[in-house]
This record gives sequence, C-alpha cells and structure tokens, in this order.
Amino acid sequence: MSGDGFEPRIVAFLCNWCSYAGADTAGVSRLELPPNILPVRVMCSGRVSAEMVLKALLSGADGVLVLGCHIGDCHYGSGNHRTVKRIPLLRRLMTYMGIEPDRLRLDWVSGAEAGHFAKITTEFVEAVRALGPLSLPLREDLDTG
Amino acid sequence: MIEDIRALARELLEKGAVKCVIGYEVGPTGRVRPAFVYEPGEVERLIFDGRCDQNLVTYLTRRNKPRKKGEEVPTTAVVVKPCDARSLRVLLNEHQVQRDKVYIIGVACHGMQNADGTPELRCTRCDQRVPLLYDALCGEPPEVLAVRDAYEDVQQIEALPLEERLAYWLGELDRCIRCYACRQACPTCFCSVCEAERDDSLWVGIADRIPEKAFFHIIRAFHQAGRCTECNACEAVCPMGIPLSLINRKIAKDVAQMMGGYRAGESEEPTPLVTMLTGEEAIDEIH
Amino acid sequence: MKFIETRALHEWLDRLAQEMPLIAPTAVGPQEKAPGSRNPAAQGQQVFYREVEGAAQIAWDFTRTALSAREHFMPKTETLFTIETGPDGKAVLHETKLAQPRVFFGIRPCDARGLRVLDAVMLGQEPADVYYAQRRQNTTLVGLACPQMWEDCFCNSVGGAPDAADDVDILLIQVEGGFAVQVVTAKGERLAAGMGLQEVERLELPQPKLNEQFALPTQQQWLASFNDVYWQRVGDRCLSCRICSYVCPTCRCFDVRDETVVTPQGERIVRRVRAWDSCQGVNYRVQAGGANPRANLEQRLRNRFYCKYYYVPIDYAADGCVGCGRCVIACPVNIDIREVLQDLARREPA
Repeated sequence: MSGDGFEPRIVAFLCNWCSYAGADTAGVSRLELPPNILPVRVMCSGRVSAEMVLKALLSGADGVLVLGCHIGDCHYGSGNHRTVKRIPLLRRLMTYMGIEPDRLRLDWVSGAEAGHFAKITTEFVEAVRALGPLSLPLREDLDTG
Repeated sequence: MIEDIRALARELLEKGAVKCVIGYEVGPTGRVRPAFVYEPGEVERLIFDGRCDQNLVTYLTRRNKPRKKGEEVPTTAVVVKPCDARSLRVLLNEHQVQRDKVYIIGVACHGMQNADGTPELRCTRCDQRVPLLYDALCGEPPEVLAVRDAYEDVQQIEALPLEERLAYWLGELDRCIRCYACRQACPTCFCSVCEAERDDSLWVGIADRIPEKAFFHIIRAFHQAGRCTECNACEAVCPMGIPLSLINRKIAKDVAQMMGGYRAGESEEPTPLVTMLTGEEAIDEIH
Repeated sequence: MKFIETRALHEWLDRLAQEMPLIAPTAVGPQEKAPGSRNPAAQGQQVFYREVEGAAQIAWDFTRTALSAREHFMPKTETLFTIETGPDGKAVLHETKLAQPRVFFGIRPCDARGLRVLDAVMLGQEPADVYYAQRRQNTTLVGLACPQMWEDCFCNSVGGAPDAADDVDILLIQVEGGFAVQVVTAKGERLAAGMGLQEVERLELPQPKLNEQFALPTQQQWLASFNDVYWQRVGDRCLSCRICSYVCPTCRCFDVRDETVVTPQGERIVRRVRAWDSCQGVNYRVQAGGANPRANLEQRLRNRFYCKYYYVPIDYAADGCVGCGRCVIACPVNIDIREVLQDLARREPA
C-alpha cells in the first residue's frame, strides 16, 4: 500500500452498554463517520484483553480503539476500572517494544454522545493515517533453502 | 546456615510434619540444583550458598494438587529466599497454594553470585535480607545495604529511538525456540492451559515465527503484570539467552509508577490489574 | 591420505558460498552480555548452524552448537503448502518450493549420526516425507571432527566417536597447518573434486581425548524400571519445559495445523504449517474427549528416556541418542541423562 492512498484499518472494541449505543446514535443521527472503523462489540471494555489488542495489530489492523462507559457509569459497576489500568499499561509496553503508542487509544463514549463518538473516531483515523501502515515483519519461513 | 537447614529438615521429616523438603543440592557434576528430600537420612544432601539462585516456589503449585482424586494434599517444606518469598506471597494471594500445606524454611540471604563470583545483578538491586514470610528462619541476616532499584536497564531501552527498540526486540525474540522454559520456570505462571498452547490456535499458532514469538512473550509478560516479582527465573533458564526480565521489569516499573507504588508480593493485595480504582493511581491520560 | 591447507580451505568455502547455500557453525546474537551468568546461554554469543557468506563468518573453535543440525532438515517451522484465492475466485494450492543443492559444512560427527534416526522415521517407510527427503538428498555433509570430547559429551558411551566418519560425506580432521580430509561417499567425492586436495604420504592424525565411558542399562533393566518410583524422583525436579527435546539432534516430533494468515497486503491465505512439538509438553498426548495417557510430568519425562534408549532401537534399529551433551548443558535443573543412565544401569535385574 502506498503512503498516498493509505486508508488505515482500525479495529474498535465498543462496549455493549454505552459505546456501541453511542455509535448507533451517531449512525441514526446521520453524523459523518470514517469508514475505516471495524467495530467489535464486547460486553464490557473490561473484557478487552491485551491478547485482543495484539491479535488485531498482528492480523493487519493499523490501530486499535477501545471505547467504554465513563468511569462510574459501567453497567457492571467497575469493569472499566480494569480497562483504565490495563490499556495504558499495554500502551506503555507497546511503546517499549517499538510500536507507536498512538496506534492504541482508550476513550469513553456514553450512549448519548454521538458527536463525541464521531469526533474520536475521526481523530483516531487521522492520527493513524499520519503514522502510516503498521509494518511488523511477517517473516516468511526459511524452509526452502 | 546449612546445618540449621539440615537440622530443621530432619526434624520436620522425622515428626512427619512434612512429606518432602525442597531445597538445594550439588549434582554429580558439581552443578547446584533443586533437591527433593523425603527421608530424614537424606538431609545431608541439602546445601545453601550463593549458587542457590533457583526459585523453588515454582514447584509448589503442582504439589498443591492431589496426585489422585480424593488423596490429601501433602505438606511440603520449601527453602525460601526473600525474593522467592515474594513469589510465594503472590501465589497465596491468588489462592494457588494453601498456606497450611507449606512449611516455609526462610533463609537470611547474603545475595546470590554469578558463576564468576560477582554478585548477581538482581541481588545488587535488592534490599531484603529476610523473607517477608516464613515458619522458621535459618541464618543470621547481614546488614541491609541501602540500594534502590532505578531500573537503569529498562531506561536504557526506553531511551532508544522507536525503530531501534523494535529492531532490538525483534532481534532478541527471533532466537526464541518456543521451548516455554521461561513459562515453566516462572513461579507465578500457573495457568493449566497456556494461551500459546491451545489446540485450536485461538490466539497464536504453532509456528516459530516472529509474530507468534512476540505474541507469546508480550502476553506472558502482560499476564504477569502485578504478579512478577522480578525473580529472574525466566531469564535464568532461557536456552537462547533472551533478556526476558527486561520485559517484565518494564511492566513492574510502570505498575509501581501508575498504581500507587504497588510491588508484587509485598502485600496481601492482589495485582491492581484485577481490582477497582482506589484514587491513588497516577494513570497516563491517553486520550 | 588427503590434505588441505587452512587457507585453501577458506578460499574454497568462499567460492562455494557464491555458488550455493553454505550452512556452517557461526556465532549469533549480541556480543555484550553477562559473561559471568549461571545461564550458559546468557554468557555471550552462541554458535548455531546457519547460512554463511564465507569462511570469515565460520566459528572454527566451537564445541557444539546451541541447536543441533536437525533444524536444517526438519525446520522448527515449515509451510507444507498454501491455499490462496485465485483470480477467478477459486482456491489455488501452492506447493512449497523444494530444497536447492547445498553444503552443510562443519557438522559434528554426533549431529550427523543423529540424522540416522530422522532418516529412519521420515524415509524408512513409504511414503517418505518429501520435504525431508529433498533436503537430505540435496545436502552434502562436510563433517568437522572434534579435537577432543568436550565437557558433558558422551558419544563414546553410546557408540559414537568424536572423529567418526560414518555419517558424513566428507570428514575434516584438524592437523598441523590444515585439515586431513577423508572422502567417504560418492556425493562427497563430487564435492571434493573442487576442493583442490593434496595427496600426502603420511599424516599424523591426532588422537582425540575421550571422556570416561560408562555402561548403558540393558533392555531388561529398562523393562524392569518402567513403573519405578525413580521416575517420580527425577520428575520432581523437572520443569516440564521443552529445552531437552528442542536441542536434541534425534528428537523429531512435530505438529501440523492449518492456519489462516493475513499477508501484509491484506490477502487471506491458508497454510499448512508443520512445527516442532515435544513429548514434554502437557498437551502432547491429549486425545479427543480429553483423556491424557501421559498427564503426569514424570510420565512425560520417563518417555524421553525410553524413547531414546528403548523404543527407537527396537522400532528403527538406530541409536536414539548420540551423546552430544546438549540436553545435559541446557537443562535448567540439571537433569543429567548420563546420571539417569548410570542409575538405571546399576540396578539389579529384576
């Protein structure tokens, strides 16, 4: 993919109770949304494990967005308390291993914040677009020597 | 110190208070290795010195399960250094070991030595001379040196430009042969089925390529967040000499920094990654 | 007796590397490490058999490589074939390109001997494994004799020798000023034709220093020890990692799976992957429904010894262990195969 025509592929993990509803509201309200987002509905942002983020990145995503309920609004009470610790920690580890931190973003979107959802997704797509495609070496096997 | 350990081991075995004592012995070729003593007459095998750097707590999780259904879990005595005690504390916090099935032979630690007699790096960063928990203490604790772990090794990597960091890690992890010795030696890696070994390849396949290896090591380290006590067991067993502790120490440093100075194994609090916010955190704003 | 001067050998290797892939022992990894570490692997660079560009990259004074020669005949991971979507939307199967002629220089006699077991398994019965067969046929083995038996080697106790020429095409033995060359096979002769060998009348071959030989357990002793509590005692220490089987020149277990991968171009392809597996892994013997006949660690550890010394000799008429000493060195908890063998050999036959 050349740099000019680069369209980032973004995997967005949306919590069922707030952010997915927020995305829905944004759609119903006919807000302009970037087409680069591949939404994955999860029951809680606390469900989003490091495995899911990494697997998305290794499977071809250029960025991962994690959206959940605002702290205090979690449907399960404190699911997002784990998210708010886990994702920043993972972001630091990613950076340490050599992946740009801005390829992972955590934010909160309630069911009513359609405008906020549109803003975050647009911002994130532009941020990842600026970074360019994520190129991790997918080394082919040395099995034909 | 050695005599204290042997006398205690003999007494425990004679009384029948424990079925087995896990300590250290010298193997036939002169290498120090874990020893499992079942008979009072065998306690002379036990030794303790600066070569006994393995973390014996690793062996407790598997001994905490009955060998056959319905059998009682036997009590095991284990020789524990201050660093090992922190691993044990984590296992107790996570209910992987029953406290009443373990007899902790604590040893006052003078630090471990490398093969060439120099102090082990991790010991130069440690200020604990007496284990945090024990049933009996052997040896006289030496004076505590005023040391503070500044994570210089981690900072060196952090200071590299992003591309160099990626190149460094890809170079190191490329040597991995997926033997899983790091995981097996780790006292706090106790899942019964590892994500990297699932038959359905859900997260990672069987191939020995960079993506699989990187995935395994990053996830293993991440699962140890707030659990890793930086005992270095993973790195010490790696047959490819990969500096694995650099990954775990980075996480430990960040956990301490972001989550109210939490250090694994120093309290009865479980890892902060599974608990609610307390208000003492200083987590990065990432949006 | 044939002879080649050191410089001539280097020049020949440099030329050879231009013509075809040349695999040879070479030092890998960062130089600055922890020289005093208790972990031998962390002390500095380790030597591996890898493709090199010339004699300058070859580690001439190595003892044994960290991984055996097996990785070049049964790679840690290989793609057997891929399935892609063709232009008409139909599935297209691509076979993996087969091996090119190559020279494996500097293989130790024990590593070459280990290939006997792999040959027996992969080629001994029809159908032969085509991937292995191609690599084997297209590789000329130039052995480099050990000047002595190294610490922890025991090849002389399991029927080998540090300067055995039985399993290589050409064997080099270091002598004053160069190498004595024994051309063993026709394949070796073809390669040796380009080496520029000198014919010398008499050559004093060094006698390699041997380690003390020990007796192996008899078949009766193996049979009698199967249910012994001894395995529990050795297993106490075992971590159940896979180091011993992955460094071993004769371990050959593998797993095959189909995987969907996404290429950097975003195409989804399916590939059939074959990768090393180990009987020391907990899920190695799990069967449909979840039954695991080797669920206990000591059963798995026991299998390693029986496989090498009881099953392989019976099933394949080959020696299952070549005494390279890799597992002895690499085992992090010092489970020493020599100690186990001697313990068993001391037992009274039941």
